[in-house]
Amino acid sequence: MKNKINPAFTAKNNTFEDQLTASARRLREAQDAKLQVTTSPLPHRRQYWGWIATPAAAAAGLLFGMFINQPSKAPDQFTVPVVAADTTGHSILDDGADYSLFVAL
Amino acid sequence: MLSLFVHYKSAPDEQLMERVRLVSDEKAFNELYRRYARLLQGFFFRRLGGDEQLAADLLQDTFLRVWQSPASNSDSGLFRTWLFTIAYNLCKNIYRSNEHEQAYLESLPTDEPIEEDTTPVQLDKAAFDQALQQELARLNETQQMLFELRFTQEMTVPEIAAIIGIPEGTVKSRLHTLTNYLRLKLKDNEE
Repeated sequence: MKNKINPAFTAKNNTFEDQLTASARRLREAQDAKLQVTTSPLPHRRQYWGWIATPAAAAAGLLFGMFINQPSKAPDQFTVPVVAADTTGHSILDDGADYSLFVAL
Repeated sequence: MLSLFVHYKSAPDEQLMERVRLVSDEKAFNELYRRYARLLQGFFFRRLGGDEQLAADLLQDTFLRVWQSPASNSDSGLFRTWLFTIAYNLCKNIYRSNEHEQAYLESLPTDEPIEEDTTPVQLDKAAFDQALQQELARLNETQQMLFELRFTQEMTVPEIAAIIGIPEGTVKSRLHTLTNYLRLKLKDNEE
């Protein structure tokens, strides 16, 4: 088998070890370039959105907190029975009978 | 001390690994993955008979170990050495599971000192590459691993010794034997 000698190549590779290293590098680069490298085993999205997701979550929490602490216009649980009792009492009094004890209650 | 701001693209491996270890920094981990994934997948691909799927699986396995057990890197030196130690051990496990262990052990070259001949072989690049590939295919697994670490991954003798777990003197001796053998074989291809 006849092989031409490349003077530039032999000049750069002073020893057989240099030749081996250069050749191994070429072979490695050729093989590695063909490989389909899989993506990192960790998810990518978490790290890039973390800096914006944290303040956004904090702001959303704050807004939610402000919303649920607003004073409500609806009658609360203590006023509802009194109103109901008043209404019942008045409607009974309209009958003409004496239900003063019930109203007092 | 862990710095607050890091330029991930230019930070040394060891600094990135420290961030992975101390604060589980995913960005640092992914940067390490970007740097070494192709190199490591190629390593598995060559060492395990060209099985691309197995190489991809072992690449994931290696980096998951880096993520899950970063503390085991705390007192060892270079990140690259540690990474390839994990990879080397995974390869050994595969050899064992394939019942190649006996052949693997029997293939260990002798540690006899030999005379070193360093003169280059008179071949051009393409011819040299082709002849080398043919000779590499004929080597046993141990010799191929040694060649991979020393010449393909361009590692130092202390690094190889740390990865394989043998004394540096033994690595040197085996490398001399291997290099001399390859030189003799490749010289046959000269004009």
